[in-house]
Order: sequence, then structure tokens, then C-alpha cells
Amino acid sequence: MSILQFMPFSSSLDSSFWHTFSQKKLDTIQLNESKIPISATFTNSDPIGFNPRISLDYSVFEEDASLPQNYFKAPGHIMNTNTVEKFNQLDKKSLLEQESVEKWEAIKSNKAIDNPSLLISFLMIAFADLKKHNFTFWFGFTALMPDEPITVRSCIMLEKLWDGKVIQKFTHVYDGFRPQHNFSGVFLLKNNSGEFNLAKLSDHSTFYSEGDMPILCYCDPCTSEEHPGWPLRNLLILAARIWKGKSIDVLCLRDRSYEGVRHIGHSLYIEEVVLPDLSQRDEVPKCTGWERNDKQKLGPKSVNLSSTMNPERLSEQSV
Amino acid sequence: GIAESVTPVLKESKFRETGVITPEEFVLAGDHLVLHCPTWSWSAGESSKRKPYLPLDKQFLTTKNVPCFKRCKQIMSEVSGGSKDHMVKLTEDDDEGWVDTHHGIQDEQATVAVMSMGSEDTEVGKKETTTTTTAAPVTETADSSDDDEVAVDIDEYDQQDVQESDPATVVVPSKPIEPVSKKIPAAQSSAVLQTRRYDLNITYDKYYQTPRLWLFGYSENESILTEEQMYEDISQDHLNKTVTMETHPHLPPPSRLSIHPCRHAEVMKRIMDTVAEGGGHLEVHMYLMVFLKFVQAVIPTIEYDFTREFKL
Repeated sequence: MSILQFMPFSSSLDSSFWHTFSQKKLDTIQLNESKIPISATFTNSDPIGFNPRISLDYSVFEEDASLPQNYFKAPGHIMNTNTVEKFNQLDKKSLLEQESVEKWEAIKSNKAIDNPSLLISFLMIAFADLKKHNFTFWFGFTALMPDEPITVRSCIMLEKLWDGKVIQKFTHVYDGFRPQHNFSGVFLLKNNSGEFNLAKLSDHSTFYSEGDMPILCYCDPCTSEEHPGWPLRNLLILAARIWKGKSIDVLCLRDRSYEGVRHIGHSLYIEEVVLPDLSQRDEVPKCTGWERNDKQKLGPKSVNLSSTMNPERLSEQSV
Repeated sequence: GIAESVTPVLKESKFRETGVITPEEFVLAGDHLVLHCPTWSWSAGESSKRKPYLPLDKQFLTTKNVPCFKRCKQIMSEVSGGSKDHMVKLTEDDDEGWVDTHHGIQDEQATVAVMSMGSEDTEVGKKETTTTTTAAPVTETADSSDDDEVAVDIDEYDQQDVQESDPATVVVPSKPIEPVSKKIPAAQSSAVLQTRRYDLNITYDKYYQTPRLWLFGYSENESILTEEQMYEDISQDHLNKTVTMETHPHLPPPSRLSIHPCRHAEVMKRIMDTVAEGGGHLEVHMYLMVFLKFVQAVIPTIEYDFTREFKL
């Protein structure tokens, strides 16, 4: 058995995000420094080798923005300070802990079973210098930690476990399931020697019979052969309340089309995830999740868009 | 296929005569592209910028996170002298057209570094200086801000106890930006690739009545590519005449890099003629497939998806 390690999310911001945010700050946010809801996305359709990412663009304030296939919503909050001093003074540790309390409540109340996206919500703290178009920001992808790290028997690529025919069969069932169930990216799987059944997470108590090994599936933004992505962390905490102390399998589903061909064989299958029993626990687990910057340090990133955002330059280009 | 059988008869189509298309034809061709290459999808864009002549939910096409493993000058030096998988050269004597970018590249050209959009005379001296980043977005860690202001001190954070230590987090090694490996990496172990990626859009250009391609790039460490850095991914043949920074018709500022559509119709017309000479017949729903094939000459290292089996 080995410790299961998760690939962290990176934040990825389109410059249109900063433009939209700057407008919003001038128009409605103004000096408000409290948390404001935003909506980001991630995908499980990346080419192999890409970093798992949370992406933000101009649509962060549009709640009903439609998503391309294999893109999923990650709800979050932005908290913008008015001065750099305030940004520096923010108590980062307690901010992350507040997030962890919310996640723990969503898990304990079973809200996260119906709405698993609550488990991947993030906090973005920022200082936006609108005059200089200089932006400093830091993402917290809060993950709850069990007292002891979770161990697993093995992680294998799906294509080593299922042959092409079986993969095709699964894909067919999955494609039939998706549109019917207000698909959240998290689901349950039953595999009776290649006969597949899928169900929503909320059907967990009726879906499996006595003695079945549950297979928890989620759409995985990671492409690593060895590690699952970040969304699985909190999902396993939820699983540890549902299947207290048992072992489950996990399918980290990756789904990519290229040159007209669908690929899911690079999905990761995790055998025998040993879950702790968190069913009676009340105390909030410890947490982690501040993003590391380019230097792999715990600290904010910054971007200067003065050359592309200053009005003179924009008017030059629009001639 | 399905799309062929549902192709409607279009009134006032000038596609066959001049290579331009109507918005309806753009939508038809876009639907065909999305059907065959699901990495492409329709987008509504910013609501305030919607064009009335296009359906609300089909304003432009988008594909995200397209890998770009190497810079153009790398592939140029690899193929100089040889030929591989290149486009049909449409006419022998046309050096302005959309031709094979790999064809006839001289060694000297292959080593020329990226030049900016200015006049060639003033830019020649800039050879070899690929990383001039004076006038475009620069992402950097926050400890190098202006001197006379309160800076965000990242070193302090690293020592501060901002979170618990955690044995279950994969530590991603710090990534060198250059050089990029010459070979396109296949599926490898857990190593995270050092690759740029692009978001691409195809809009309908009302003036030129053709599709228009837009690019927005990210560096290996998720920061926004500068204009100059993106020029490294434009073929040298097209750098100074075909790409421009302009306001996107459906997205908020700042400007984005675009392949100028002034010659698109002409090229489409010529491709159709070539197909007709070979006894073939190019239907309008194939327009974007053909378009994506020929713009590949401009961005040969950006590995976006289209049906490559398509034959001219």
C-alpha cells in the first residue's frame, strides 16, 4: 500500500478576466473587500502532460454561461483588497481554515452529495492596482486532510485494465448517462465483468448490493500516469463519511478527442483506496491548498497588463 | 456523412465564385466542424457584443488548451532541406500566398529570431534577441515590483505558516521555460511537460466575409504570453504580413493576435479551383476544415484539431 498523492491545481487567467474584473470593480464592487462569488472552469480533456488548471476568463460573473463539452464549473470567491498593505496583512492561514469549515459543513450536511461542485470551490485573494494595471493574486484550493494520509493498493492507466472493447462499452454507457442526470462530473459505477451501470452519487445507498466494491468516478483534470487531480481530495473525505472505513475503487475519468478519435484509456484507475471512518467526526479536519507560484514558493503571483490595457494603446489599435 | 446530406441550398451564396461565405454558411460549416471535431465548440461571447446576423449561441467557434510544443524556428531548422507533411503549394510563383512554410527555408532564415511587427529595416538588428518583453504583459512572481512602493513580499509568506505541511501533495518541480524539447513528447511518466498552450477562436469577419482566426497563448507556467512571445509561434513567412493585434469582435479587451483575413477568400477560391481541376467538388460545409488546414501554414506548431484525412 502506498500514500495517495494528488496533483495540485494551477490557476490560469485569461487577460479578459482582468479587464472584466476591473470594470466590475469600478462599477459595482468599488471599495468592497468582502468575498464576491465567481465561477471558473476546469476540463478533463487536456492532452497528456498538461498541468491541471482552474481557468478564469471574462465569463466569471456570468452564472449561466454555457460550457463546452468536458468542461466543468468550479465555483469560488474573489476577495479584493484596496491596498497592498491590506493584502499583505490578510491572515492567509485563517482564510483557508474558514474555507475548510464551509467545505466540512457541506460534507457533514450531505449537501455535497447532491452538489459535488461545492467540494472544489476556491478562494482567490487579490490586490488590483487599476491605475497601473498591476494585479497581485493568490489562489487557495482548499483541501481537507484526514489525520493520516490515505493509502491505496495501486494506480493504473485504464487502458492496462480494460481492453478497447470494454472501454468502448463503458464510453457508450457513460455518454447515455451524462445528459440525463444534470451531470456534475461525479458518479458511481458498477462493473459486472464488463456490464456497466452508472448512478448519481446521491443514489449510493441503493445502488450497490452487499459485498459490492463501490467504484467512485469523477472527471479528472489531471493527466498524470501516477497521480489523480485535486478534486479527488475532498471527494474522498466525503466518501469516508459514506463508506466509512471501507475500501473503494476510484476511476479518474479523462476524456479527450483528437483527430476525430475519442480517448479515455489515459484515465487513471485507483485500486483499493482505504478510507478512514469519518462518519462520527465533528471536528474540522486540517487543511492545505495555497497555490505555489512559478518559483514553487508559497506566495502570490502577479501580472502587469499596462501595455495591453492602457487606453491609449487600445485606441491606437482600434483605428 | 450526416452533414453532407443536410447541406441546404443557399441563396445568394458567392462561395463558388469568390470564396467568401455568408453568416449562414459560416454557421453551417461551424456545425460540421463541431460535429467532427468535438474539441471545437460554439460560443456566445460577451452578450453586449452579440452580432444580430449570427445565432445567439453560435457567435464564434472556440477550442481551448491547444498544445504548442515547440517554437517555429525549431521546426524550421529541423525540416530545412527536407520536406515533410507540408501543404500543397498552390502556385509556383506566388510568394505572397498561403504556401508551404517548410519549403525552401534557408539556414540563415532558420536561425533568425523573432522579429516584431515593425518595418523590416529597423528590425533586422534585433536578430537573436528573442525575449524582448518590454511592451506586453509580463507575469512574474511578486517580489520584483517597483522599488518605491510597498511590495508584496513572497519570501515572507514562504516562511510564514500559511498552511499545514502535507505529504499527499505532489510537488511539481520548478519548470525551466526554455529550451523546449525538439521531439514532441508522447505519453510519458508523471513528468509535467513544458509546453505552451493556446486558446483559438474562429470568428466571422463581416467585412471580408470569411472566417478569421484568433490566438491567445499561455506560457509553460500559466502566465499570459506576450505579443512578442506569440510571434515565436508564427511562421517566419507570415510574421510581418499576416498577423496583427486587434480587438476581438466578441470578447472584452485587451487585443488579441489574429491572422488577417484579407487573403482568405482568394485562397479558398484557388483551393476550390484546384479541387475542381482534379474532378472534385468542394461543398461549403467543408469550408472551415479547409480553412484550418491552410492556416496551419501560419501556425505550424500549434496542434489544434481538425480532420486531417481531408484531401485536397
